[in-house]
Amino acid sequence: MWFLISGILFGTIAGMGMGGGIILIPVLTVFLGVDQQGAQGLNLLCFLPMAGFALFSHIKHKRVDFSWAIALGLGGLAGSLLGAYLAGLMKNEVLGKIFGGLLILLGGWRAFGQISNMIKKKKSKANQSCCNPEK
Amino acid sequence: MRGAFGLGIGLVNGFFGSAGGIFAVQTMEKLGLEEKKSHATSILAILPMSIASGVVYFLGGHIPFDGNTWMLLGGACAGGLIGAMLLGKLKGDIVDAIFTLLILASGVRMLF
Repeated sequence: MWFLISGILFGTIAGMGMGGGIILIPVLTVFLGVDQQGAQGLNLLCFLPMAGFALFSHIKHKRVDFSWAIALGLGGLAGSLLGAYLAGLMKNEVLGKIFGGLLILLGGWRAFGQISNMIKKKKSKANQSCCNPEK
Repeated sequence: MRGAFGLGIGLVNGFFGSAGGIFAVQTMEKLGLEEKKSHATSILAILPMSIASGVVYFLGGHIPFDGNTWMLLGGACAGGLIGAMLLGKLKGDIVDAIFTLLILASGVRMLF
């Protein structure tokens, strides 16, 4: 049952193109007892049908830029083969720790962007209220 | 140029079995593609990479197949449709902040 719920949660986030895997993989390893390589493999597997469904809708709404997708996709083929091969050589515990490090980096990066956005918004609001001649 | 970015993104996606899309979105946005299009395009760009690395994981025996796998897959399909419909509609500062906290918490849990 938890696997079904995790799948729906993953698909919804991934369908929006915002990184379903970085949520699904920790859920699988921390709560559902899957090892790191297994979780990564399952994430790749789940991505395939999910991508089909999400792309069907995105392409219909003309949101997909094909020249970008083809350039990145073809360039990425070699990299992904090498990356997957290297992951297979790692010990699960080590790979899990590196993955945790990646999450902290990504989370910190997002937090930095969001906080600086918030400060910008506040500043522009403050400017508007102080310098509005009608008040 | 774009191919070189793709190579790096593929390396990440293969090694971590995920996260390639996040870097793909960032790359496209920085180089001028609009936000919604970047998110949607990233899915197509990552697809061939995920197939390639998925095959390597499968051949290495790293993908567990049991009843849970099918539950996960079914949920992912349904979620994919929901997510595609929600793109652009569910974009608030609070959702973003919750997502960031979730990522940080998972990272801390896995690293320590």
